[in-house]
Amino acid sequence: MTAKTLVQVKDLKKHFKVSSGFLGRDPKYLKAVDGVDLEIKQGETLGLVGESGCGKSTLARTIIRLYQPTSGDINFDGTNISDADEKALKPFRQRMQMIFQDPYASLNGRMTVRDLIAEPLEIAGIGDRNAQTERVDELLEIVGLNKDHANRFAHEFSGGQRQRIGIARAIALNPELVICDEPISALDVSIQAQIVNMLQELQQTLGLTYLFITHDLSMVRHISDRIGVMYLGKIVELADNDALYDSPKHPYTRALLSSIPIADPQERDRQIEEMQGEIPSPIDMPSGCRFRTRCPLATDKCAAEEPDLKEVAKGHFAACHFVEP
Amino acid sequence: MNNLNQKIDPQQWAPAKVDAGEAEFIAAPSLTFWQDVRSRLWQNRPAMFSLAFIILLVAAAIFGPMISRHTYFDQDLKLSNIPPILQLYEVQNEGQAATYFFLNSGNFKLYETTEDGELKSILRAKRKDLINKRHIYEFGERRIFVDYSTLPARIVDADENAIDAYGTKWNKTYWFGTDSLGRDVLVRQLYGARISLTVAFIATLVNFFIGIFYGGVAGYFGGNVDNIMMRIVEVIATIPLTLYVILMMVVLQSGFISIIVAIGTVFWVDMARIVRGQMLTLKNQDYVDAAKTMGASTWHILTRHLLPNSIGPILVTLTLLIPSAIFIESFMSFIGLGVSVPMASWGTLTSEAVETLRSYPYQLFFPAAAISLTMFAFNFLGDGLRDALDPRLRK
Amino acid sequence: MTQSPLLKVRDLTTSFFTSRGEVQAVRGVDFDIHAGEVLGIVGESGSGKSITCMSVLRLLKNNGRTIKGTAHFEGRDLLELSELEMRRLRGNDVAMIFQDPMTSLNPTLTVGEQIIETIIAHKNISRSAARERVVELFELVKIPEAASRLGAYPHEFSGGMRQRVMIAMALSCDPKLLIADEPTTALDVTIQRQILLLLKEIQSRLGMAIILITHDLGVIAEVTDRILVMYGGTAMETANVHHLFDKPMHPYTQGLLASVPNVNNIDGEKLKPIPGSPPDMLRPPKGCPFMPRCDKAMEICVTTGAPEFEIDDAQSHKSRCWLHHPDAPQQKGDAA
Repeated sequence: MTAKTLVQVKDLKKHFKVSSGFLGRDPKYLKAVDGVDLEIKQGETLGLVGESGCGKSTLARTIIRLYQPTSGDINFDGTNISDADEKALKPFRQRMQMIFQDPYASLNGRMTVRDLIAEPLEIAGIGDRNAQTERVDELLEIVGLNKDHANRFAHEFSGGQRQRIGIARAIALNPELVICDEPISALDVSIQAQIVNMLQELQQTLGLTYLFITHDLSMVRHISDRIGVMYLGKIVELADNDALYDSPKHPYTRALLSSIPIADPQERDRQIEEMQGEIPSPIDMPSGCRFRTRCPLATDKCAAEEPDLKEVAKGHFAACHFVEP
Repeated sequence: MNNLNQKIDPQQWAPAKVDAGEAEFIAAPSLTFWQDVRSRLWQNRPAMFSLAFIILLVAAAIFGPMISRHTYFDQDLKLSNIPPILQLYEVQNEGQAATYFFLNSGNFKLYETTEDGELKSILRAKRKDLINKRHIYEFGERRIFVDYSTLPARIVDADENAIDAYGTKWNKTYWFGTDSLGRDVLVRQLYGARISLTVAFIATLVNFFIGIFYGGVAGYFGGNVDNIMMRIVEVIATIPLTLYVILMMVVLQSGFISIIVAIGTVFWVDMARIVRGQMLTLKNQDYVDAAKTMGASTWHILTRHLLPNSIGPILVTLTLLIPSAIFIESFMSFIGLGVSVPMASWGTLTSEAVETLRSYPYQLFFPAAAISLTMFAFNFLGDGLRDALDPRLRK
Repeated sequence: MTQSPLLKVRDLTTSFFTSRGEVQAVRGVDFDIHAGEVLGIVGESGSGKSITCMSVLRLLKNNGRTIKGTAHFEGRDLLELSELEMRRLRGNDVAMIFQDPMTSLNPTLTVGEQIIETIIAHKNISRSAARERVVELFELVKIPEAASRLGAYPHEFSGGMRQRVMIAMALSCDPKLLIADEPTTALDVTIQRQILLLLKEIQSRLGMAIILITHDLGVIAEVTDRILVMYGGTAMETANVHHLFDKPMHPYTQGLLASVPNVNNIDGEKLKPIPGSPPDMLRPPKGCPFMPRCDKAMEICVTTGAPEFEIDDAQSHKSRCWLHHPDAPQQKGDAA
């Protein structure tokens, strides 16, 4: 399977300055994304998981250039867009879109559904009023809403319906890459499946590539081809779906996976991988391997040397000193 | 387990015709944001009364002076300082119609009126006995004395009996009475309303434009731009506003335009802060990020997303700035730095009335009441708007 | 269960009277919980699961009113007690913890102070004895360096630690019943696991009853003994946890289980979502609230809500669905 690489990210970093220190002498940075290498292949769904503060949302927003990277490269279909200004980015904006987590905050409550979905068309200057109206109707049908909904206002819809509107808006320009930033976390359980099914169908019919960000480890297994696990701004493991769940290599991944509550009471007394302590602050990170403060396997080597993300099996990468290829 | 024994019609077991699409149906009528706000404002009684008051006031200010038979500058010194409520006395004269008059307790003079309360003219006293503190009036055969040796002054007849009052009537000639120069207080009030409200509205409008632009730029661009702009605002805000306006007025000379300029140049800081605050909050909303991912220009984001969503707090601030402007203008005029004579603003009316406060309190009552009620009205309206616009109160 | 229940709720009905009309949040809910039992109440937004418990504790906001029903706690009807008696009961016999500990804790007081206050308000012991008790509690909920943490403020703790502080506060007066409303929803999955295990441990040690309210089927499966499934303000199915997951009887429960991905049973098949959206409780459907989304709905479901039918006597499995009526046509696949 030599699918084309759509997005290639090399050593991407995004740091936020949180204080200037005394007279600007000792500035402190929040290292949200701190050296990420990633490849998203065309047509795949790459899942990105991690707990709060791991940087997955920041990574997504940096790739889509809502933020300017602090350093590192982002290549979209061969072109480096990390330093591009807004003008140079314009053609790329059409090709990558985003679906947001909060269905209430991501739609301007004062706009009608029609205006919301037509906005990308308007900004890109595509089609006249009639053509836009037709396209909006088409999109509404694709996402399972109907035409009379077009003249209503966003605040009249339920969470699931609003997310559909957000999806309709995201695919309006026929993008190639759609970044889904926790698109179902804010929805009811019975609605989550509706949206996930729709996303999968759209991927088939429109040939979309997804970067699917979530903290829901069960759902990401269901939808992804490959999965990356992030911790404190770095990817600690990256593997094919089955490989990650069947044989996780990194201690963090193992602890994470065993913590997932399983909707089956028989599984209650299963073996759990313990993880002590709390996540360290992303402003003041531990030296060497960032996971060592909570890792049952930590040694002095871990404090001294930060492990690289190495290929330990075919297509399976892990960043840990104790994983043998 | 109550109806287990109840027999159920076999037809009831047929599958129901269920349309899941119906489940997506929204029953409620589509209300725009503003319709929703309007309905909530409607339920707020004080705000509605205030709105009605303001509308009436504006209408009266525009049309009142046009339809009144008095002008704001006509003087009639003989009829100066007449109160709005007259206590009439009747004197019967054989063979002639009764004469009605009232006593002006401020200057102890009698004025003739019609039975209904219309002023006729001032009455000439026959004689003024200053030693015994009496004025003597003659109505044909009858003699009436105004005795002001003890206060309050009394009207007595020849036998030292107090005359009963005939009745209390509203002054039909001058509904709010006259001032010290015999000018109709009501028409001056309305004229003053014109001035005060115009100054307030225009000054507020100037604030609106300057404030929105300034605050919008500072809030949207953030960073150093914001820092510098806000430091300037803080400096301006620390200067006591009143002091500044006084200085401005001294420089610009009193006058209508001057006071608008003076208020306009400092008032915008509040609006700028509010708009900046709104920008800071709103620009981090996901829908702004969504617009950016579509390649929206800064202009598009400002005009399509940020400003429309800030209108709420902007409107509320506007409504609450107006009473401040009214008060400042009144205060300036009160101390003599506002509009010039004979133009009447509520401030000048107040200023003139203070001198005669002891004797003719009604002259101060009207402008003071006007200022207070108007300020109350705008405050209630502003509060009502704020409550109606607050999304948290929805649900 | 031959012993009488600790809390017996019958026909609980609560509505909110808003400017847009009456929102029927809870519509005639019955349930029991026995001493030492963990009852899970599972439901989505609008199901009424939180409001049910708030109604029992009489913690409804201004425009909410419980208009019908009884809630007997150890024989006394909580809905009939005076406010003073309720205040004595809350925190003392029945405690509650919420989803967001940051809003439940006073940010201007140290955590030690807040719990000491709670203890002193209910028990007649000295301040120093209360202080010792707090240290004990912190150790019970596994807050490291318990004694020194009493002087810390809520913002100095992480999310998981704050939730432990909440639990400590809730346990401070040895309540017989703990109501936990989405206690782990805002927490990361690894912290969530720790908190759930903690609750289970404490529960078995102290013999406390717990009502766990959540929308997460995984969480329910991990820690509860019995489950109550709510939808549209109504109790749809009640069963022992093993039974519910093994043989769900109500179409809603079946639909819910089919729409949730199971991380161990990955077979590449699509999830089977339940079509439609949860009902608007301002205008709830006339018959069964789930009817518009149910693929097995019958004519009778449109007009009349079903009574509860007992599925399996010994296991006290009940389901509120017309399909269980003896006259109802046997539909394929309803015994999942």
